[in-house]
Amino acid sequence: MVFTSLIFIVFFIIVFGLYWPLGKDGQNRLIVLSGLVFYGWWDWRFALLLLFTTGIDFMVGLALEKEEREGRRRAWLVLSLVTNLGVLALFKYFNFFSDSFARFSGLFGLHPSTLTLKIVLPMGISFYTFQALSYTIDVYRRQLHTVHDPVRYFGFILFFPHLVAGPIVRAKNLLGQFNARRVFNPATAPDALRQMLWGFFIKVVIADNLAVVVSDAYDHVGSTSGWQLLYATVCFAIQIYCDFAGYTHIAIGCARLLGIDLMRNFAYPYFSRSIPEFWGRWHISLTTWFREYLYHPLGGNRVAYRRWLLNILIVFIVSGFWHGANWTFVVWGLLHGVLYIVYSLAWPDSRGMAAETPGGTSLVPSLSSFLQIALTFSLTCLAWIFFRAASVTDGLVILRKIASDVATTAPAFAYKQRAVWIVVLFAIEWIQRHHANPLHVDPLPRAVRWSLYYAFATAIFMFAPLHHTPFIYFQF
Amino acid sequence: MPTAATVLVAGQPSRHALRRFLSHLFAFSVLPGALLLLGESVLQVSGEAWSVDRVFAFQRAHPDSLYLSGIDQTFYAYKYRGIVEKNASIVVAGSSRVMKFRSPMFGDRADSFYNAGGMLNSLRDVRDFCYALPSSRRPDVLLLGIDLWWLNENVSPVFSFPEEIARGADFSFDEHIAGIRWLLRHPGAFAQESIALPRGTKRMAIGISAREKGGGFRPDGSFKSAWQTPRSEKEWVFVDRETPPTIDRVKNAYANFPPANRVAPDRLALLDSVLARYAQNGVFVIGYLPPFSSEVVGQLQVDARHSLFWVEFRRAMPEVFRRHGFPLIDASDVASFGMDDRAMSDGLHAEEAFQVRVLKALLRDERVRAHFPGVEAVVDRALASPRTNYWDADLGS
Repeated sequence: MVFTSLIFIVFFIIVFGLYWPLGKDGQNRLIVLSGLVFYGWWDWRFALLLLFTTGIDFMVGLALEKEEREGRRRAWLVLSLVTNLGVLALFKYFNFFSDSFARFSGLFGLHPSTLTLKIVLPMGISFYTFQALSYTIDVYRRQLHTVHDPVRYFGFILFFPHLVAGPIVRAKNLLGQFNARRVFNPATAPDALRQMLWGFFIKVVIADNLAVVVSDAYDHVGSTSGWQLLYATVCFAIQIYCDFAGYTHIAIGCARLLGIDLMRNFAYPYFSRSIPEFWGRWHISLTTWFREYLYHPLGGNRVAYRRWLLNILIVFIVSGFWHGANWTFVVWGLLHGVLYIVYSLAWPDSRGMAAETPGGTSLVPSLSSFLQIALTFSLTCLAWIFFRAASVTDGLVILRKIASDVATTAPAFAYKQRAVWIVVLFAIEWIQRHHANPLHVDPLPRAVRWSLYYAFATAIFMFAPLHHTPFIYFQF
Repeated sequence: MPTAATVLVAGQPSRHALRRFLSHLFAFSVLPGALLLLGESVLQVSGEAWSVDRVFAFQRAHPDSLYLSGIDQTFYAYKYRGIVEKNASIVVAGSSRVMKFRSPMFGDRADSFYNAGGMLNSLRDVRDFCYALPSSRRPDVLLLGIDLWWLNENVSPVFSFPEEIARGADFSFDEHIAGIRWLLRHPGAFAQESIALPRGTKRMAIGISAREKGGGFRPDGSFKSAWQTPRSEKEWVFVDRETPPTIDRVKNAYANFPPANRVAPDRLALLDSVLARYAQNGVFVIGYLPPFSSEVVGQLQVDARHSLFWVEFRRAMPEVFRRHGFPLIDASDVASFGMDDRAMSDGLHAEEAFQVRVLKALLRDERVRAHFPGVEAVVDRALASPRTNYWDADLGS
């Protein structure tokens, strides 16, 4: 089930209606049941797989609590890691490794018979796997108490707003919210609806309308001009942002309507003045997860200088690989890793910028801020080329075409009228960048607020493409 | 900002707060909800959202009715359904350029006539239609209009015949959305239809275009033009109402007139094979090359980007039909039928009176005369009638 379908709207209204009259246990049971329906709607067999891994993690949590011997405790943690990462590896990475091994062997004239499985990737497997791992690792580290109530634990994993595309909320930040009966809060509900409205708007109006520009160019690299590829790359930067951030806004809004707070996942990333700032604003929940469970265990910055640089590179390469089983994602991660290191060395303060208002506090940015934002955006676009390209070779061809055409020919684009959505997005986000929700319009009079809601709802109704465009991040 | 987990506002019971929130939400939804409901009512009452089956049922009961959707023409599904439903012995098929042949023109076999104009828009469609139609629905005579660009290798077929004829069984959710969007983009039509809602479907026009403009498909599949017939000699001036005008397309060699030096051999072979199959199945096919305005014909003759293709097309078509024992009438030039551009409503489409003259010319062929009993009398009467003008023919109806 996807958020932008009619069936989801009906589903959510039913869940919302049943949820509030219930007590704590009833609410938790409903969360589990609705999560299974939500996930099983796509393929019930994968709901069983999800139940299996979640069951293992719940049992591991109980075992870790009882076990005092470190060796045994580590063994239980390994069981959880092997189960979760094993399932992830089988479904997501098996064919990649098999294929890469065959190609690598081919370089030495060897042609081993390799196995390729016809596997369908379970929706959102990378998201719920990381979510689950945060629980077992935190219990192992004794940073979190074991959950004894299976309904509460399964609710934490199966909570449908964040089940398939995050935000990846750590167990210690979410489990506590299932401890008491949720009480409807009229102060937050309108803002939750506004956040959902904004999410729907940027997903179905902006992302889905730009998707055509992107696929037309990236699916026909050979016959597309460099200028068009450049335009398509910028469109892709906006498409993937609006697609993913749109999903997150809807997820956060839905969760808030059910009395649960999910963490913020995007904080106006394209107004970042540096790559380290970008990573403090883009997919924050994943960045936080990697920092906590990979970067720090590797030693973080409390190691020798070269090792620190290597740690950064490892995190970014793994992050790239998390996105998909293709070398293009590895190159994307590597590029960001290198850029992160260059910025960190040349401009150490840039790592703390994500805590500030993006682009400064004044309505018109200073020239230096503007140039820094433009450079950062260009560098992220450069990396997006490899993220979107079908292969690394395709990515290099695109780069070469852009470089040669931009230097030698006059600009010419198809679909240029669709750029209006980019302007609309940036204008609204720039004005509203002080708020977590870009549609935060509380101080305005009701007539103005309602007019704005109607305007956004009309735009969604009138401009959403009628064919279904799946969320990009579901595949990760 | 307060968090969702914050406990409720002091002293306010949760149920009351929830009810208040829902009542606000309901109040907000009233306006868009009413608009959607009104839009959907217009789609239903106007016939815009009707399935093809329902349109046919209505047209069966109302022989004077016209059908033309404003949102989606569904030519293929509607016309194919018409052929199957009527089980006609004379079928006219081709693009919109053959839509003006009407049942009263066909004398004794008028009741067994169907015009499927608009359903075939490429030779691929011609082939797919030939293979799709069940033998029980095969006509005795097929009057097949062939468009110049069907043989141009630089014009790709747009439609998929099997997919198109499968449509129209029901109105999908997306089509409802598209329909309401169309209404919101055409506030004039939306307002007019909304005001007319209380009158229901009593009007003889089905679909917003038919109701708004007055033109549409008759139950025999022929098309009644929405254009008002000129009344005075001063008004009888040729105007190319196509957008963009046909002559612009030819002069600039784009759209359905890209440059071509020859008739595409593979497409000619495809036509040849389809005609062979019809001959084998006992269907008598009459080829028809519909007319262009004189300016377009002149440009096709002199423009080096078109002239070779144009000459070869007019030579190859009669040849391929003759090979299978079928006649073909080349009506490309209206002047050769004793008429001028005033017989046309734009650079591509001739009106009824011209089609009567085409029939008259066809009747010179013994084989055609044998298949069209009673047609000669209708045609002669129409041509002699003072009520026949450049567009309308007096068919006695």
